[in-house]
Amino acid sequence: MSAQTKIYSLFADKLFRICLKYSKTQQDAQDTLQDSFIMIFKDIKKFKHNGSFEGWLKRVTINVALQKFRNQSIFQFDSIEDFKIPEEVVFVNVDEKNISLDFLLSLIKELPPKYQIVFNLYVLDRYSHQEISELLKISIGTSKSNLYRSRKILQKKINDGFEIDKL
Amino acid sequence: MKISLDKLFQKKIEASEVNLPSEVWKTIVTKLRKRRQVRLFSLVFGISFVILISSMLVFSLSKKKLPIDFYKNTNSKEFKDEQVKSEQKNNLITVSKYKKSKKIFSSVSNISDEKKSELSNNQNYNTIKAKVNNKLESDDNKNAHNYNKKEESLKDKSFEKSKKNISIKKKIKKIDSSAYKRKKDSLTAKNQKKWTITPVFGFSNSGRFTKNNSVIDSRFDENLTSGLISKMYGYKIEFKVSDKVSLQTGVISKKVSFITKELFLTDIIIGNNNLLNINYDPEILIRFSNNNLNLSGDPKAEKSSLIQTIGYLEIPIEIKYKLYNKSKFRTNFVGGLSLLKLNKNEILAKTDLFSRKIAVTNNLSTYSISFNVGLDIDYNLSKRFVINTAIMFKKHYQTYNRYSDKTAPFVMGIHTGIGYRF
Repeated sequence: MSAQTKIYSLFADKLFRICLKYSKTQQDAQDTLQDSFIMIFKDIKKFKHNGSFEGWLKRVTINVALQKFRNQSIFQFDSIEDFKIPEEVVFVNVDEKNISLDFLLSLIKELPPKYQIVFNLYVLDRYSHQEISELLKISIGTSKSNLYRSRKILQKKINDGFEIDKL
Repeated sequence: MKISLDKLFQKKIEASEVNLPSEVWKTIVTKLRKRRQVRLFSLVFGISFVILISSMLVFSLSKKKLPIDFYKNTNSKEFKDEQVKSEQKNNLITVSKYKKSKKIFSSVSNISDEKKSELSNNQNYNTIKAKVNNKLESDDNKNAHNYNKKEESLKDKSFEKSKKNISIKKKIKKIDSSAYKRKKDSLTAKNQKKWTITPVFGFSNSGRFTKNNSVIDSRFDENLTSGLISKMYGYKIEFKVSDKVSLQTGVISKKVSFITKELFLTDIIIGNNNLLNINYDPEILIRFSNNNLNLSGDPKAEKSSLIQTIGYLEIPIEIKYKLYNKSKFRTNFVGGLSLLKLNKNEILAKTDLFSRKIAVTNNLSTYSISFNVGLDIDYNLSKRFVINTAIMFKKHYQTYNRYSDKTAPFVMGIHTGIGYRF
């Protein structure tokens, strides 16, 4: 088994999960994963052992996914500096067991791209607002407001969805 | 049940199992292999290009340098002046030698006069005088003799000199005429136009050596596939290395087209209606099939042909070798390779009613190469203009990601253009 095959077998699933969050379709996610691994094998010498290898792989994958968004020019961020963002935890009224991953992924994909990216980066990939602002070249305020709006949209959709189910 | 939205997403996504298709790794391996090939091709092509340009420069400079130096050294006026100067220098040396001897002679006389006055008071004056007189006489005689001899020799030398001058003049004349001849030759060589730029236009037809092997999908293996005639255009730059050999490069835009017949256009079917090597336009809801049954079993599926067009930007690096040359005609053998950059990729559905782009091929390499051989004919219209026609055969390699080079196409083409020499 070559080193490349070993890296692929160890991390492909984890990275594919990231790709799924940032892609509209399964096919897009596969393309992103392929491009990510090509980039990883090309730039593997650049890994300086400063952090974990898995973390580096994830960062490369996220960068590839974001580049795809940029190439399609489907997201543009509005600069929001003075918007007051409430620092509150958003709750939903659902039974966790009755909710599927596909349903949650479909909700993320329905978000406008600018909200989808910030939500993914902050909530799912645990980036800070500072890191998001540097990565997307937006202000911290814009990042926070996009996160707030994405949470509100998701909350409404989940609650509404379950209300409909209950009816 | 109230739960934090963030935690809900985090838990569900982190705990999920994903189903990653095995083709993903195969595609990655193919892409990596392709990358390596592209790098190798780029290296080979880069080296070939550098060699080509270096050869052009080296030949160009070496051809130019020789006549200039030669011209410089054999410039008739300068050469003549130098010859005359050298002769004059020789003469001056002879004259100065003579003058020197004359001076020695006069100084000897002067010393004698002084000695004469010094010795006048001396007791042995007469004896000494007699001796000195004898010596002076003998010296005078000697000097006179020497002078005469010198004069004679100078006369002889002058005669010889004039004789020599005539022979030098003859030599100069001879050298002049040979220099003139060589200068003329060098100027002719210099005036020969080394570079030719030729805008070309032509047609090509494509084919494959393999049969019953569809590059679209194995389901179409039995369908008749043939090449289509396509246009090509661009320009060629030629550098004449010697009378027999020329190097040429350029940029040519060309297409490779194939038609797969006896297909049908059906409605989109849920399930296995995708073809292996093409990606349909997401907005298109029709699919190619070799079955004329439609979704509902309606046998009215539209009869169609699939036209695959692959466009390339071609940079050839070729050597032309003269085979035959008579007055205005010149025939050359052409051989070399081309770097091909993919610049068009489309799949057309062609029916009796319409022709529309509905998909793209997903297994084409961005960079590929071809090996070229052909016959090239030049017809000189004037010193500056030439009609160039070439019949070329080009075998493509590394055209597809997922197929061996046996399935890669070949192209037979003819192109022509009027070249300008400079």
